[in-house]
Amino acid sequence: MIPGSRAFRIDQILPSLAPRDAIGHHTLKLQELIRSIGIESEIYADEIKGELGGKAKPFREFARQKDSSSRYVIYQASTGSPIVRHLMNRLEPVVINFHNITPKEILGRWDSGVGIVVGGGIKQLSVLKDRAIGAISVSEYNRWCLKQEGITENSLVASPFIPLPQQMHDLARRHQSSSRWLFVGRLAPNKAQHDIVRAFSAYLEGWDPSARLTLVGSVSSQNYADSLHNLLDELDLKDKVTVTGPIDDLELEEQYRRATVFVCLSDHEGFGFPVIEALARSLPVVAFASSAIPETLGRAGILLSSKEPIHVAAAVSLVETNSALREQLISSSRKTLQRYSPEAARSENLDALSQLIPEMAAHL
Amino acid sequence: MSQWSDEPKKPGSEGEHDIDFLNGSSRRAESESRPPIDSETADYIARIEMEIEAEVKSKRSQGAFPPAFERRLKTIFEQLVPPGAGNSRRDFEALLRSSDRAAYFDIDVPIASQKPGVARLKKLLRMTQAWYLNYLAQQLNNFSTNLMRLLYVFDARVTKLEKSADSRAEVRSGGEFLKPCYPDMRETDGPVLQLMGQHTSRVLVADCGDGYLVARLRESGVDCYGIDSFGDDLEKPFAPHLDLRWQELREHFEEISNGALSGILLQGSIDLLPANEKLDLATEAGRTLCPSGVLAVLSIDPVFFDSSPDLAVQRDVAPGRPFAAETWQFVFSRLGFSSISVTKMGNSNLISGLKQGEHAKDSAARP
Repeated sequence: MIPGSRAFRIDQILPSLAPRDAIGHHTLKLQELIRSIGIESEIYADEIKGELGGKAKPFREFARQKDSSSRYVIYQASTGSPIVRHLMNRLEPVVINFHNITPKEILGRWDSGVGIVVGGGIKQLSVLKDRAIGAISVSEYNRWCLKQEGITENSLVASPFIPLPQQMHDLARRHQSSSRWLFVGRLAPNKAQHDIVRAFSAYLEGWDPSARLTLVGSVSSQNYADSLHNLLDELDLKDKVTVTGPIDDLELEEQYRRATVFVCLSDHEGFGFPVIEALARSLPVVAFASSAIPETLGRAGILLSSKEPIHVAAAVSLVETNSALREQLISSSRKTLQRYSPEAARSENLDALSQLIPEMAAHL
Repeated sequence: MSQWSDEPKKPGSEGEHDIDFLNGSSRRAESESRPPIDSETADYIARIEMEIEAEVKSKRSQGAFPPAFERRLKTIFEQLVPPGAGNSRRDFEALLRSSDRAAYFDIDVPIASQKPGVARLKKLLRMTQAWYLNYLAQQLNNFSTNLMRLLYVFDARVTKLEKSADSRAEVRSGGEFLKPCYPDMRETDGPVLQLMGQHTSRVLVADCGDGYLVARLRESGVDCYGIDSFGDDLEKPFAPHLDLRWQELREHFEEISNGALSGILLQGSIDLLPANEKLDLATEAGRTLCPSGVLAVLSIDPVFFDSSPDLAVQRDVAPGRPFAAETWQFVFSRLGFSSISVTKMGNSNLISGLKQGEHAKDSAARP
């Protein structure tokens, strides 16, 4: 059923809307964008966390509403959810906004429940494709992943909205006498914080015994977090490595300010938001070239083809000691940041949505 | 917006490997499923990686890392993961137990409720549907019980097979016995130094022991390092600041890029490996050598191996026996080596050959 020419609306649906969450931020900004061109838009979430209570409505409200021939639905896909089953039984055209789903092979071995949910998420995509009029991925990598699930028609790419500071921070403010590594991301197997710890251990051994590492992020897998803490104990690194847990924006800003290098060794990232956040703070990035990271980072950071600890540590030492390389990275990161500016995200998402939803033309 | 090819390589296609999550550190990014990187970014990565490798090499040659350092980092996390999350025997058993526990389907649905009357309603529903659910559950339980039984039997059979095929213990004990049968390099290192000394770039000495040959080759200006699958000798290196690593040869080859080495000496425990493992290692050695690189195998003469009264135990328990020089020559030839020669060294043969042809050298050669 295609909505007619009368007033139509675009609502967004997602499993969970949370503050300081990349997908949550993107969803709110997308709503702003849709509303700014005069189209009505609401957000419905199965779970609404923290201070976002007023920004979205519970999904059950959407479920109670009748099918509407004048409504499009954007489904923010990042995990398995019962929402999809409900969408399958409705008639509104669906646009999948794909943020990627971590493979169950990585998560399932640590927590079978999580493995079932993410495995179900992938399966739901292949079911949802019959109901979707198109998909917008936040990276080419994600579009490629959708292709593996048979979603190829009207499959587009548009940059996500990323919460970035207005200006890049001044590099000189961050002078430290020793290397300070930082990683920001949930404590989860796919983020591979254990590999960062191993590489950091090599760095202490071979380069800078006074270096420090900070791992910022909430616990996503308790099993993984426990193993990570045990690893720190075994390597006797408790006094060199800080695991902060979740922190607020001010504290996070302080961590970025103190750090001298951002190290990301994730095995799977659908986009890699913190990498861009680090670039925006003039923080050089050393990252393992997995999944979407090479596309997101481009030449604005050091991309590694190996996670061997000594290899990673050597890469960090290059960044720390080679000021020309550091300058070059900072300079390249400006171009990358332009690519992911709010203006670029606005224009790309508008363009993608108008390709999938013909009625939008009247609003542009 | 797009800088990527429209037809990405499918996962699992040529040149890709499975992801080994716990040991991901030794694997390369190409192993993960993703579209190929555009050529400019690939060139950029290659350029930076050359600088990184130079830094790594410099640190290693200063002896910055103890031989067991990487081995410890690699294995330590595997021992700390909760049962079932790793790839070890312990994890397999944990998974088997948890699967067994979950393999029983219960139709006694909980009926408790805080709402008045609902518990009774649920109970009624449960009773009225029991005949139907019970019929289904019985079939499922029959199936799952048989499936679990099948898994246990399968496990027992695989374990038995693994035991009979596991050559490590025998190779380890056998290797110790074999040591006196090899020529004493401190007296007869001439042929090896002559072979490898012509190569100033990266040379690997496998089963390097205390690193005597590594030290001698470095004195000759060769960029040489050694690995050994047993850590004992590495603890007392022949000279300070040698790049010696406690690592299995097979694992080490997995980390090396195509064409990254200009010389490889295989010796020691390779003699007692089964034939297929010898061939695999020789093939891997061929892959990691650059064109004109030299491969040398120092191997006990099988005539001596078969007749020496001191090697009775090895003959009986080792999963493999040394190849004849002719067999190694055949293997070298099949692998495309030229200038194949055999030098007699006491009770051993030193077989060598030069790698021929153009082998695509990885942009970031990483031994």
